[in-house]
Amino acid sequence: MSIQTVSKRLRQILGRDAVLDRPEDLMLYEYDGGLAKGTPDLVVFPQSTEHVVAIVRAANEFKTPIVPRGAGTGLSGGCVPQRGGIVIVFSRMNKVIEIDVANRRAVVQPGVINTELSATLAKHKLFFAPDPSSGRASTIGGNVAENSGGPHTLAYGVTVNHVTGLEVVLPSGELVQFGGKAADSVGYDLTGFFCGSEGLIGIATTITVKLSRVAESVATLLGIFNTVDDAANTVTAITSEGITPAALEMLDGLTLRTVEEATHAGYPMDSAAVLLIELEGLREAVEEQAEAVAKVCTRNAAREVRRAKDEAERALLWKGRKTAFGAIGRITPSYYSQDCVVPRTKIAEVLRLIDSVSKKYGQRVANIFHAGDGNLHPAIMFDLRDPEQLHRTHEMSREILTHCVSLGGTITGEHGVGIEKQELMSLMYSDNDMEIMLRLRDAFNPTGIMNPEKLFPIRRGCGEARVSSVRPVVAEVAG
Amino acid sequence: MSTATTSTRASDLAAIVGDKHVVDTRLNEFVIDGVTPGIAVAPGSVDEVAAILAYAHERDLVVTPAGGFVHQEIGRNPEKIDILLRLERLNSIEHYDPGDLTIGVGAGATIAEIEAMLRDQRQLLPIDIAHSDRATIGGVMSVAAHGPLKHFYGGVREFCLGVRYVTADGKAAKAGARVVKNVAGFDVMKLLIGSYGSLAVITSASFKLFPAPPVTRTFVCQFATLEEAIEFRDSVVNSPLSSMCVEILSPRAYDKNSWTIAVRAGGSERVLARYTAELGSGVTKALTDVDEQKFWSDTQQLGQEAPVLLNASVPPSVAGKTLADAGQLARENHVGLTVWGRVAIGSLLFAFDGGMAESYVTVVESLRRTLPRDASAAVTRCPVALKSMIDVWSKSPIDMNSMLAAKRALNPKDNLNRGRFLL
Repeated sequence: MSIQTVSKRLRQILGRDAVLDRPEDLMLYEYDGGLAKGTPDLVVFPQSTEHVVAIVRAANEFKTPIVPRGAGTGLSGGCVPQRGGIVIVFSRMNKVIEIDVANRRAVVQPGVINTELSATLAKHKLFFAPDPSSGRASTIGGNVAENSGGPHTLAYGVTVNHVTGLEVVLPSGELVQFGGKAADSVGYDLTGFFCGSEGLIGIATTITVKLSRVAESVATLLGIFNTVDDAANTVTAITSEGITPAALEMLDGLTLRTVEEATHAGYPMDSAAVLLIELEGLREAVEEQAEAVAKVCTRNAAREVRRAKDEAERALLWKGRKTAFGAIGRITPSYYSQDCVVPRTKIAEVLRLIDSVSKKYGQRVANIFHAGDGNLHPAIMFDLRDPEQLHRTHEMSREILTHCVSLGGTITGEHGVGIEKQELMSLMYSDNDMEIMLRLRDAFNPTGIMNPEKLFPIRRGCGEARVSSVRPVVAEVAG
Repeated sequence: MSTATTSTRASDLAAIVGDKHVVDTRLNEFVIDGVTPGIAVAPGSVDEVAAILAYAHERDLVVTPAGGFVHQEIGRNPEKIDILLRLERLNSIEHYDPGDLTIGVGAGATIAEIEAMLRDQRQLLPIDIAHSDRATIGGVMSVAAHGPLKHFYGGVREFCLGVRYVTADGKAAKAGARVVKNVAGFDVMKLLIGSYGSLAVITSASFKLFPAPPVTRTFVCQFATLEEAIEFRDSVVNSPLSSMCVEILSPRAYDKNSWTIAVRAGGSERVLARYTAELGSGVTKALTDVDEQKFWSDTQQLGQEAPVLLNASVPPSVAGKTLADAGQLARENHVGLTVWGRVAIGSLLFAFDGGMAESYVTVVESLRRTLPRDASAAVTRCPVALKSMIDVWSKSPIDMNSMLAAKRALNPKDNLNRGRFLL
């Protein structure tokens, strides 16, 4: 059965303007925010759950792979087609179906944009807590698929902690419900299991999310340090004081100088590291914690502790953090951002390791990360035109990730595995570990039609050919 | 089962775990809902658990995992229990670094043991349940047990970071990690938490910990009617306060003349003074120190003697109506009712007593009919005889075929806790 037949069928169901099949149109859907590349055969834009069901059924009939895609801001290739097929884009399923203030829930379609949901909720003093740096573009559906985090996950948790119900189109085309507005349900927690399953077990067409109340008071502090070790030690010292900041971010000296030149956020040009610390909650508690945090910073040899005086100053400090990766793009032709996690007491150790790896391979690395969570995003700089540098970049990544895993950490804290890290899964998981996960994948997706060749290593020699090699590009990094 | 078979099985299992960890006499202490296990074994390692499960799977034997026997009364009557798999020896602390605010423990470690270790470091694993000296981490995860602290910290699903488990066919595996953020691979933890031992056997798990507030206070707020109590709950939820607990207690649960809302807060005197100001005239008394501890340990003990216990999760907006409906149904059917729970998140417990079997069935089934489609209401305790008259699980708002697919993947022959869970 030719792809033209599928295309014709889907045009009949979705309308002429909802199906793309010209090469120049398909090119736009070959990549995401980061690494891999693969060309779809068709791109379709459903407007309803019924459309999604029809697309999945047609895909089954024509045995064509399906790849769901939100805004394409992902960094691990989750929405990049490995085997061609139909890319389903959710930009036309972008309605907030219900805001239920009494239950602190919103029911949304998957294409709703992360920050737009919170903007809609502002009048109720509510917000959707997961805040990936891609939030201005990324969709709730994508956030669910990748179980997205963000700077404020330290206090609020990641996406899975904020989802109570899903309407899902299974790989078979069957429409099912997992949970609803209640916090818990009798039965297996398929809602939780679905979050972060990277589009391998179904497509969420309606998502019920928890809403959080906007805090009464916020304090944003900047701790400035002369050594990276002092900054790293401060991170554990803050939590040892019994304080859980809403966010606790770290930028190293190289990043700071780059960011400051780009954004003029007021970051010091000559320090080794800064901590961006945000406290939220009851006015009295925030004041006490701000004082305590300032003391901890000073005790750990902070050269200076600044506190944002108003919302404008706070926004500026955050602008520096949120645009840090963009700024790095100004000083290097290409960079490859990692997403490793270590226990937070190991931050200083892993930063030293990254520094030694950087020196060993002769490539610069900038560090910007969620220090409170131990979630590092070292950005390895290189020139894509030089194959040697590209090769070294991969070697450096692998060395860093291997070390993180040996410290009890993980290869990805919030970006996902997708294509980028599928061959690295064996650093963390044994064959048995993955065999059980594959059993679960196959239980939901027996024909492999949903997002094929993702997340798990591709078993060579089993007739599955690898489509593309990892190809790092300059990317705005979520997180 | 013939004596010869029993003795073969005992020697086969003894070859895996050693003679002294196999019990084939005195099995009366392990009876579950009238069913006596054929044999009880206590493995000392994950490999032994895997070997036992592979053995059972091969021979189509039914295995029931067991911890401290705190929650074994939950579920339908077991079809049979060939092997009782006691996880008490897997009780080591695998890692604990206070600076990381994470801990990894064997499935057989008790909540009290963990609490004792965390206390010195002023850290908290927010699982505040009764019988913490017997309740094990594996048992807590299997039944998703929770107490009043769930209001702020969420249930175990929200702070479990990783798990080691063995599938019903004897494959030892892990999922997740020991760091607070990780998206590598499927979140198998979510499937196992609340699966009542029907998917796999948990052998250890890692958790995120929380700083324990240096000082706490409990504001007891009493109201003449349920409506006033619910109105007060709404005002607390919509205030800037971030309370650790917002617990409702019916007249029979605490004060016979009133509905009580207990608001627990942590922080400095200044912060606690703000709670006093915000809660205003609603506060009848503020409890500290031993009085406060006693209040919460009494709350944990509620319903322990009741013959029938119903555990419900409803959207918070219908919590008031559900409590009112339950009260009316209990009165109409001459059944005693004590109610408490995390009222702001819709997590409610109903203890029924003093009625006939038929009246319990009527009340439970009628109450279930009043609930919205996405609510759950499981009978988590009732006499064995009642279990044949009532569906203890009732319906689930999660697609049944999808749950069955997950079960077939991990427990293909249905030989873990057969017949006891929803599916």
